[in-house]
Amino acid sequence: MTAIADIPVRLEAGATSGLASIVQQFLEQQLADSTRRRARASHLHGRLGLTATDYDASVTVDFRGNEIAISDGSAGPHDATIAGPYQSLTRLLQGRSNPLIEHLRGRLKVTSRIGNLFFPFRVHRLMKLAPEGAH
Amino acid sequence: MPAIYTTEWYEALKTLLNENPEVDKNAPRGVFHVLAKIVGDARSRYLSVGELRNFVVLLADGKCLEYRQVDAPPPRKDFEFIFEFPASVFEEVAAGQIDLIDAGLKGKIKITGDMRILIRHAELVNVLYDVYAREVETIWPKGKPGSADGVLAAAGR
Repeated sequence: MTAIADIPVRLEAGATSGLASIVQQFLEQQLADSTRRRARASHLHGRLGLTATDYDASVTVDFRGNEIAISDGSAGPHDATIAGPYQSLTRLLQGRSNPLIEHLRGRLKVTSRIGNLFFPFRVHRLMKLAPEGAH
Repeated sequence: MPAIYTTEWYEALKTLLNENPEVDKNAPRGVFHVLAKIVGDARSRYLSVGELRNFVVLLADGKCLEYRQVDAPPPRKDFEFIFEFPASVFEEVAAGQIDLIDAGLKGKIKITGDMRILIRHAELVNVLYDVYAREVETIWPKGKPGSADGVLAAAGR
């Protein structure tokens, strides 16, 4: 596979929440380990709002193709939002569920802009953990 | 019942963790070196502002094999995980007064390390919190965080 350039994952100025730090480190580690994930990230453009409703904690993850920037809060505009209890968000990242199923079951509220309808699913595919033991 | 920040308190915590089947079930396999840094702040009744306690913890296959307090911690690169707590937050979690996940998400606890392991084993946080805040019976010689007697004790620290 062709070498894919590193995609920096950085915290925007003023992003001091633990959630922002966790998402930043998580994404950086996920991308560092996988050429395929870096290739996917390089094609992603859009802003995702992520909210743990039970802890009143939100971040916005801005996928810009050549970098990813994370800021605190859920100020729009967003191309997609995923909101729900922390445990449901964790299940999503663990790869134990997907945004559509969690939305249909009422455990998460997932929205996306008509022009970027599949954005939350593409982000989920990028972010979710591989099954344990897989590379 | 041991007092907070004593060897007996840490030993009691270690024993409870090692005997808890939920910890064993949810903990990641493998060996992990963890550094916990507790920094005194104005709200703590037990650690003065700027006072630092470093604890090196060795975990293997869900068991705590070793913990020790060190004056100067080894380089950060020697650890898979680093947790940095203001002392008041550490004490409030131990007293069951604030939620460990909330403290982590709000940035009151700074966590550095492999987030993929933390997220894969996210259920472990709830188990650890139960042990840490509810199962260890803690004596608070200078008063429990948030209590009036503690405020007076802090003033005269």
